Amino acid sequence: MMKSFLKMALLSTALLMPAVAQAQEVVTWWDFLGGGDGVRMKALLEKFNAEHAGKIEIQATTLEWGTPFYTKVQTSAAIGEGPDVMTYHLSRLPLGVSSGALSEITTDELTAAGLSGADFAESNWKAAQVDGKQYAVPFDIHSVVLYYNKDKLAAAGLIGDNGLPTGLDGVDNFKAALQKLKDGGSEYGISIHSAAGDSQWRIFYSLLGQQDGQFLDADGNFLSGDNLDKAVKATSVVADWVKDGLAPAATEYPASIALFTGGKAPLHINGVWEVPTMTDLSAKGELGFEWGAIALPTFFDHPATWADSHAFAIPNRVGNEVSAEKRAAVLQVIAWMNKNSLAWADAGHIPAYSPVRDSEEFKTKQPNATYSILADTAVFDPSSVLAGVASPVYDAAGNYLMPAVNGEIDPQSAMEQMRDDLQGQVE
Amino acid sequence: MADIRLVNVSKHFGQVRVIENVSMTIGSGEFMVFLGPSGCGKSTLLRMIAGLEDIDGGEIHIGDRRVDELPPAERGVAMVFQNYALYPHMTVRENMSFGLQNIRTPKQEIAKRVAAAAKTLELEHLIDRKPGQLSGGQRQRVAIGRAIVRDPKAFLFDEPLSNLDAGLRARTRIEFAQLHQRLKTTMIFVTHDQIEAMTLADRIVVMNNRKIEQIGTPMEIYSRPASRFVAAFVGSPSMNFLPVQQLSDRDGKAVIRLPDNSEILTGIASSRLPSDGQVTFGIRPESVKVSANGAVSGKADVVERLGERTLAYVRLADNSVVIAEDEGQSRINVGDQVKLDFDGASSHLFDSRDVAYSAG
Amino acid sequence: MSAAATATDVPLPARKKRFNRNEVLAALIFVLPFVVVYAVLFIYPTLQMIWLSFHKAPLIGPGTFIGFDNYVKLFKDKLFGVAFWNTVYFVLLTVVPATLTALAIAVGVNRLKGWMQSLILACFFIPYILPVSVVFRVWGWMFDSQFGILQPLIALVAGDNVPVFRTLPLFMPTVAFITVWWTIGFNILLFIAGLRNISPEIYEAAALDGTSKWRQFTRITWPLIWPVTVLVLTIQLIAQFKIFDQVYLFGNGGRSDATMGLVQLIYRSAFQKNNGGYGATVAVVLFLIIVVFSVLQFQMLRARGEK
Repeated sequence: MMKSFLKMALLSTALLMPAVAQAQEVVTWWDFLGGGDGVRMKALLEKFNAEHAGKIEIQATTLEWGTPFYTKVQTSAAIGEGPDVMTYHLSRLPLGVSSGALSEITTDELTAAGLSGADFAESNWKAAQVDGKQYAVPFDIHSVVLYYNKDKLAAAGLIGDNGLPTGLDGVDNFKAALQKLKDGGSEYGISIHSAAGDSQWRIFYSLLGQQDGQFLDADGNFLSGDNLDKAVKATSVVADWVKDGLAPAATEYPASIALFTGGKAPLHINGVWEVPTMTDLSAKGELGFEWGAIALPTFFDHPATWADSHAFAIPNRVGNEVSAEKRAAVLQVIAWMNKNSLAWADAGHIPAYSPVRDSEEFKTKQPNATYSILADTAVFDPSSVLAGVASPVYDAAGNYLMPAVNGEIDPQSAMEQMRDDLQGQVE
Repeated sequence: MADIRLVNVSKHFGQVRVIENVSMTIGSGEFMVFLGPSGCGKSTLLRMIAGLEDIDGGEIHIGDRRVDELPPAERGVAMVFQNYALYPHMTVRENMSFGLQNIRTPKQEIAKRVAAAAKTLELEHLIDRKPGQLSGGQRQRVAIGRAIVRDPKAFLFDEPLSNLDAGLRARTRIEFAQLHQRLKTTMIFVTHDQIEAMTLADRIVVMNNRKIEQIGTPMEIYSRPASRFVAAFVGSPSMNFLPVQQLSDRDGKAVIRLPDNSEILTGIASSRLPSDGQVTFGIRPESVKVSANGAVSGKADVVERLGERTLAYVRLADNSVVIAEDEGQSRINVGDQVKLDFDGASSHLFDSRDVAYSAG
Repeated sequence: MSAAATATDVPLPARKKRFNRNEVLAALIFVLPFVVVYAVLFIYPTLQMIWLSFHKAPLIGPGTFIGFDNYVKLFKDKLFGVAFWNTVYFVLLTVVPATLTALAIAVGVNRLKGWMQSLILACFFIPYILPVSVVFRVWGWMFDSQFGILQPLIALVAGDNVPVFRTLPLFMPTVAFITVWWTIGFNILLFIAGLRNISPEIYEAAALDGTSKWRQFTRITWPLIWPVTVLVLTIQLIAQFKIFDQVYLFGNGGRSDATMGLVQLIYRSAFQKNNGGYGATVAVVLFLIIVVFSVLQFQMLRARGEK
């Protein structure tokens, strides 16, 4: 009985095996893209599978964003059970490489798939490297932008002849504009997600970048020399808004958006990933005002905005290496995604792939085109195992920057504590 | 010590009536037994006297106080529950002291009373044990002790013997009798066991179907049952009931004819019987003797030898069965033809409403 | 009563112990699956964790043996001190209040009858079946500093909206309150089971004994459900020492160093910072703390109940 069953099982396996091998390469894909991002990625995946029917099939799984995703990636890489390709934050790359989770991507492989560093903004491409080796291919650049309520800004005389906000550059100018908006009957001048470190980090890092401040210097020191003063300045800008009631204190993420969409705050700083929210609300006629988004104003010396990239990376598969054919297929997937990343721009992101970014279609895509300058002025998170999404730096932002913004700690002392804490974590 | 009076007491649970217009008086110092099958309302009646159930109508008096509106503790009664309801986390001593502490009895007084009760009930060596460490009989004595120390006006016992095994039950029964003789307190004892009722009671209240069937001394209940139910429920083996073919009169006494055409002269005055002549004949087995001179004959179906007497289940010509008694050394065997002698003077008649008529 | 009764009141002789081989075999077969699962899923990982705590190692993969260095580091780690005291504070804020509140509610619910009892019980129990994420969302919105429906009330007392989860002194008490709200249903259920185990005759006996309501509770109900109380307290103690979810969610993005509990320190060390050895060290210490506290508590409470 048992024997014949085994025989049958073997037989059927033998029959099936060649069929599978001939059919197509199956590429296992993990991402952390929920919400509006996820919907758009799903469409791209379906399009890919349709175009490559019989050759390559992507089997995608969406996991929980942040630490859970990266923990799973790391543990599965260690036992060779990870996916074939996955999305990855460039800011998180150093920690990923140091924990051995990522596989290097060679220039030959890239060339074979028709990709080259020249197709990406330099800072972006470099952010995908650790010690000169390529570990990821950027897919987008996402950043924070200034969302604005055009009706309210126009009423306050803050819309220029070109139809875009004007008179917002400079710390004092901006604050004066906020005051004007508040005096004009708004509850707040600007809405920010002031209850959490991550959102505050993005603003802070932009303002630090605008002063050419270095959060982590080449010698591995945090906020060394006059960088500390620049950090204090950056922190004080936002802290002043909160102190003077121009921005809401300790406000949670959904509430910070609601303050803007509900018309209580005519300005709002948030990630480009909320563009779909505004587009959808506006399309449904539920917004009640004309909205737009521009790059963050220049508060200090020159434009600069914090940015991160969703990128594609290939996990190490210890003891379970994939075939050369599969790896080639994976590179094809990466290349195809980049070449089709215009659709991804609907999610508010800026395509990392320069040919797409420079295309006519993108240049007319609003509001992305308005803030696409970001790609050139982006400052990426410090390259360190302590930095990046859900990293000790983000925690430190919650522990020191967030309370400083909300007036619980003096900015000077907050930055000193933040510096000492992070320096203490350097191993 | 006090008498207990119930006046038109009734009770219902929702639509279901559990007690209907019950009235009775229990004399001071009397040992009253409530007897009846399960569900007859006897326990409910007891609990109403205790105050554990409200009454929906009527009055309850204990001594010279009307108590039906009073909480249980103020009625001055003590109760022993079927499952004893001892406080499992307290020692025997604490179980007995608890009620006295509640009414702020002085410590010395409590100690004195508990010691006295423990001595009486032979619980002294168990005084610091918890109920879980006691046997069933010991627990029951603790429950009684808990009642005694409160020196109540009346004791209420709710089937206190039903959880004991047969041998212990018989002995404990005697102890209840002795307890009553010694304390001379009013006691109400609920049971479904007619032997307990007969042996313990000064008077028995036979209850059936939410109502009192009869109140009387044990012998009254036994020899002059008020209803067919009482006649059948009390006595073991149970009374024989036979249909009556024809009712006639001889010198003022009723004469009945059984289905097998034998005639029996009863001691019951014809004038008291209902005019419709619809009666059932009832006679206890001990009044039906196996006798060579018997007027009625039949075949012995079953023979039970009880030692001091023998019971014969005799099938008459019309197929009805009569239980008859013979001496211990009876020579009857199953299948034998026997003659039966009915002692008509101690027989009973029951009318169509099951009301009983007895001789004298 | 008389001596006749005592003669048979001797307790039954202890049953003779007898094992035959079949019974032993059957017992082994029944016990084996548990033992195997327990060994594989609990004993082995625990030993591995202890072993890992003596290493400088990433979350996954081999490390280098460093003896007690992790433990030395732990007792110098300011964050460990904070996490320890936060955990103890949280335990104090939840365990006894949750138990007493559950008892009070159970006693109340137990007095109700029929569908009313079921309804009220369901009301108290429903939060327990909610996942922590829902609890977080619900209370997060209720307390939201901008739009929370509780803010008008808070403003009445405090004069202005208060971001309770970003106000350090309010954080732990608020999360503790929410935790009690969330988990109390199960404790109520345990207490109700305990209360229903008390025979109604006992209360009737107490009524005849003239027991006041308060004495009935303190001298009868409370002692009789003491074992349940000990159980609830112990379950609570262990659960609350392992506090993570609520504190993590409500504290996320905020001053997490100041609100961190021990499990969160494990999570951060091992998963976020990829320092498996140090994470294991904190875990071992937490394990010992829970063992010591729960055994101590259980013994102490049981001893009291046995008096």
